[in-house]
Amino acid sequence: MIAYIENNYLEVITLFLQHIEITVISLAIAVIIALPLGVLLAKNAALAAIIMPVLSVIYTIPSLAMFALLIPVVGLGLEPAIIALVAYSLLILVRNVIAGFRSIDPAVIEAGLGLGLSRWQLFCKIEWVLALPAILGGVRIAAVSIIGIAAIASWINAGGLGVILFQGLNESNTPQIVWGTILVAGMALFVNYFLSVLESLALAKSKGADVK
Amino acid sequence: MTETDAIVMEGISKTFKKAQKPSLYPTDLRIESGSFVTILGASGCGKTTLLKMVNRLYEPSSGKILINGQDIARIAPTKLRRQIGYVIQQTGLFRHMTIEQNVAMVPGILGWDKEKINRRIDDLLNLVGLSPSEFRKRYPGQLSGGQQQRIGLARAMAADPSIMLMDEPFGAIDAINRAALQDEILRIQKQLHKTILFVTHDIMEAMKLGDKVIVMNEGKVQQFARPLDILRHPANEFVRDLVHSDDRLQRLAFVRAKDVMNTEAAVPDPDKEAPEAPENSTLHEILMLLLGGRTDYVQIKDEKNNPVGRVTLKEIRRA
Ligand SMILES: Nc1ncnc2c1ncn2[C@@H]1O[C@H](COP(=O)(O)OP(=O)(O)OP(=O)(O)O)[C@@H](O)[C@H]1O
Ligand SMILES: [Mg+2]
Repeated sequence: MIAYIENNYLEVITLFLQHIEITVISLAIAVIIALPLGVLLAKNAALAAIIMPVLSVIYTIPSLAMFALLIPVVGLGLEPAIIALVAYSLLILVRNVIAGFRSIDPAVIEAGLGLGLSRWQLFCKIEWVLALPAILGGVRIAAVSIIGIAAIASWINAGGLGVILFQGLNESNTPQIVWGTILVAGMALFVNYFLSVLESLALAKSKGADVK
Repeated sequence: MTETDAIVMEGISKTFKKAQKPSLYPTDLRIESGSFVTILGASGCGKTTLLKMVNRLYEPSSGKILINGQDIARIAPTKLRRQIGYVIQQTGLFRHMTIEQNVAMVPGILGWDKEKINRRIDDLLNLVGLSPSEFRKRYPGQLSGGQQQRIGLARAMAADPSIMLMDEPFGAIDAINRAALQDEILRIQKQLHKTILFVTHDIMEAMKLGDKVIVMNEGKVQQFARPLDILRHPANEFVRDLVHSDDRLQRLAFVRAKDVMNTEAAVPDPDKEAPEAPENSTLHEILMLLLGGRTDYVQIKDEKNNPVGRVTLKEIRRA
């Protein structure tokens, strides 16, 4: 077990960083799309009724099938991997953004408008703080899924920790398979823990507490 | 339009989209500047609808509203609302902000300097009977319902609006705290001469607080008059049924001392220790004082504590 790492640590570190890179880029793009989309859909139920089913359908496509579908369009490598990962995480993110904004007590909005806040002031000073815990919950679940599915993306030459796994499987190298699994799972657990800490801080803040 | 009217409504009505009938039928009302007007009516009769058109949370389907002579349709909603205090039953406090941040919301938006905002927060908390040092740094979740409503009131008054709209502000508060809050808002109104439109479905509250009462039913104003006039000259069957009470004791709760007191005998007898009561007291309260005291009259005083009249059993019998 130790021998595998001793002999391959440079490659493992490179793949580990690559995995982080794929995850961070995909998550960032997904969040950038999901935030405004979620805000829009939270206020427009008719539009949400059209878009949410589409996102749900995308979410149900098996990841290997999705990668295979993307190859003729964008070829192999990082690009199709990121597109697929973004597409998968949109459902989770958008759903949580909507839930976050819809969970705000209507009396708070009414009072804010009644005091003379503009829609934008209401958003910046009030709404997003109250919606943040739910949004971070979505980010956490999306990040964990991305880390998992990104491992499969090495099948289309996107790199990352999946490379270790697939090689190990091909060569029936058990220590290598175990290491690949540990690293992917470890990364997912760590990210989950880190984001759940942020989430509970945001929750405390939104309920009224001094959070530094 | 006289200069003393703070709010003038001319033929305003409201029919919501897809609604079968209007929530408010065309209505004309003049609210005198500095008066405390209560809006009384059963659930669904259009009280909130009427109120929310004044600060443009709802736009009327017809008619117009003037505030201090200005057509509100020509004032940007945000600007208009910053000049009108708005208090609702659920308070709508910002739970992620401290009390001082809640109260400072509108002054902050208006760009007041820090020093001025700070002084204003202290003044307002004192005004609503909460100690600034104790409450400024707390969060709404750490306050009782009554205290939260006081903060809602302080926040609404932060930029010193001349008009206040209050939608069942004390509806969710227990009887004892409710009475205290009612006395408080009366005191504040007397002190600051705000024009207040106050929605309630509690007839006692409407009669106790209002200089005048708007009685509503099914989207129409039934009567707009002083409490005593509503009691003595109900405009129609609906109002008569509403205020009619076989229970004489309950009736006394609607009549205020200042409306029936004997002003010819204003000066107290120096040798008798008559119980005293403010002129806004109900005859119910006066009767209690009479029963508990040793004189045959209760001395009535105005808000400056000057004697202004007396109430004896004779006045109570006549009410
Ligand atoms: N946003 C809205 N859309 C459609 N109908 C509405 C809306 N708001 C109120 N209504 C309807 O208008 C009527 C008057 O409602 P309003 O809220 O003014 O009553 P209210 O007198 O304030 O009642 P309550 O004492 O229960 O608060 C009701 O029939 C209500 O269903
Ligand atoms: Mg209402």
